Amino acid sequence: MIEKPSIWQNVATLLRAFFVIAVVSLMYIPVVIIIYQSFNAGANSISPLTWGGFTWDNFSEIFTNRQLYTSILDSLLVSLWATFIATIFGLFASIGIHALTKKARKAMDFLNQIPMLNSEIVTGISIMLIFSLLRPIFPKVFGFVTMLVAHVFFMVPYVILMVLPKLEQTDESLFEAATDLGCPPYKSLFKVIIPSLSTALLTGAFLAFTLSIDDFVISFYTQGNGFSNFSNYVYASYTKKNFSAGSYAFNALLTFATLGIVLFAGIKMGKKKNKKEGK
Amino acid sequence: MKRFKWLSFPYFVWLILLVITPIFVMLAMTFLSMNGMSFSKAVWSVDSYARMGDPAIYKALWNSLVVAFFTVLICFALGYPVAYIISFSKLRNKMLVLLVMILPMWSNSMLRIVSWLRLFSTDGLAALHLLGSNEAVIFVTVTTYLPFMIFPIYTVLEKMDRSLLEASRDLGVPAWKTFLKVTFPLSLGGVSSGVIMVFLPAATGFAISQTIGQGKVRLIGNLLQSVFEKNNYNFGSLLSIFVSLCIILAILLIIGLNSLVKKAKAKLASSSLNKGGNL
Repeated sequence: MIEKPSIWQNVATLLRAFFVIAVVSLMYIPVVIIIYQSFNAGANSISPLTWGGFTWDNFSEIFTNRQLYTSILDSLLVSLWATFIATIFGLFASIGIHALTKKARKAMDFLNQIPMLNSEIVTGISIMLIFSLLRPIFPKVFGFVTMLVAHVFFMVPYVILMVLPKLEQTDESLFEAATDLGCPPYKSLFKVIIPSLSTALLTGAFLAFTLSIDDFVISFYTQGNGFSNFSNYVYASYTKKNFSAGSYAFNALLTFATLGIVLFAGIKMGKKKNKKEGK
Repeated sequence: MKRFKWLSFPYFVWLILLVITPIFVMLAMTFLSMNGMSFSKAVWSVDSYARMGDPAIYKALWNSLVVAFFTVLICFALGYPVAYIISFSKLRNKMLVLLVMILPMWSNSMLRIVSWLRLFSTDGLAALHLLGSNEAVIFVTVTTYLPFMIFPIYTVLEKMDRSLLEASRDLGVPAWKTFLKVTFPLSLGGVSSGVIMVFLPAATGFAISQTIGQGKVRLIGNLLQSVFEKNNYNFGSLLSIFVSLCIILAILLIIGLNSLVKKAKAKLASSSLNKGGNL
């Protein structure tokens, strides 16, 4: 049944599109400001957002401003390692939780939700307190180690959240078939079960990385000894008024890169679709 | 696969170490008085408990609840329609629309806050005295956490069985009634996770109130942060426990409200069914 849309339906569609665009643009205003500032020679001036002419200088500042540069590297270092560790930790924890009895499982599910439902500030303080107790033994523990532990701590529940439902859907008889045919259980785990979880693992890792690279509060309490991340650099330098416009440039660069990847993937996917439809 | 039970054990130990131990450390700290974490000079004291009488705490708590409440309300009012419109649109490339919505999240959240700060202090907007007001803090919090409301609702709407809606329409139920009786109740799961995901950071964050609020908007997160900044770990611990208890209460309230609405709907549905039967 194909009806010709009436004028009112068209108006309604238009209004809906307008609403979505209005809300989305609300989220885009800061992104536009960041990109504008990254090319603005007057980005650091006291009068805010005045155009001081076009420049590439802010981009070179990413490499010349030592504090900014190290904070970016520290961010990447912590987030990449934490994503790697949390994904593997989360995978094995999920397999373990999946095998538990109903009662033990309930207790684990509850414990696993605490890092997600507790406020970030209390999580950060908790981990800071634990490591403060260790400070007499390891005086230089604050920095990379504390931040890594804290990030892995808040990421693992998200990985489990992605992996566990997928594990529940996996057909266990495949695993049994493998062992019945003489494949040792741990080998079947790696050859049969884990490959079937690859998409969930990837989504979990992606989600975890996104949360980690953007984290402010938990890193605020676990930074130290000159080791910090990008969010905390922005916060600290802004309050100390030695903020570098290179921050805008770095962020704009990241936005352009993701936009490029998304567009590329979109075009490729569109081509595939067209090919399929063409057949 | 029951043999893999032990794989959950390392994670169990990890959670005990990082979730349960800090609670006991904090509890112990509340009965002590010392500077920072120097246990050697610690003395038993109930000073922290005496300080809980300070009305500033309850003022900050109330203000946090007000800011979080309005943030959640506005996020819901903007986010639900957006999720609904995209999910029910006839667009071929919904994934692309979603990517457009995710892209702002790839900009560092602290930098986005700084951008709003710069925008609010331009000559044109400075006249409005936005900085330092609750409204500006709520506005920026909304734009920061809006995606956390949109995505869970969108996911639930996408997974919904559309034939239910068709059935309702075929039976002659008007569209608005179908929405109220079928679509909305079925999407409540997504709404409650969206509400929790927005409420948590909005109620306990301190970065937005510190920067956009210019120190004039004092939330419980600001109080907690300033107490730890002054090295008062004892009172800080008590305050952390207090904040966690408030959060648990709030989440229980949200979940309880959700199940209450569901129960009421079920009752209504069964009663209207009975009426239909009598006809």
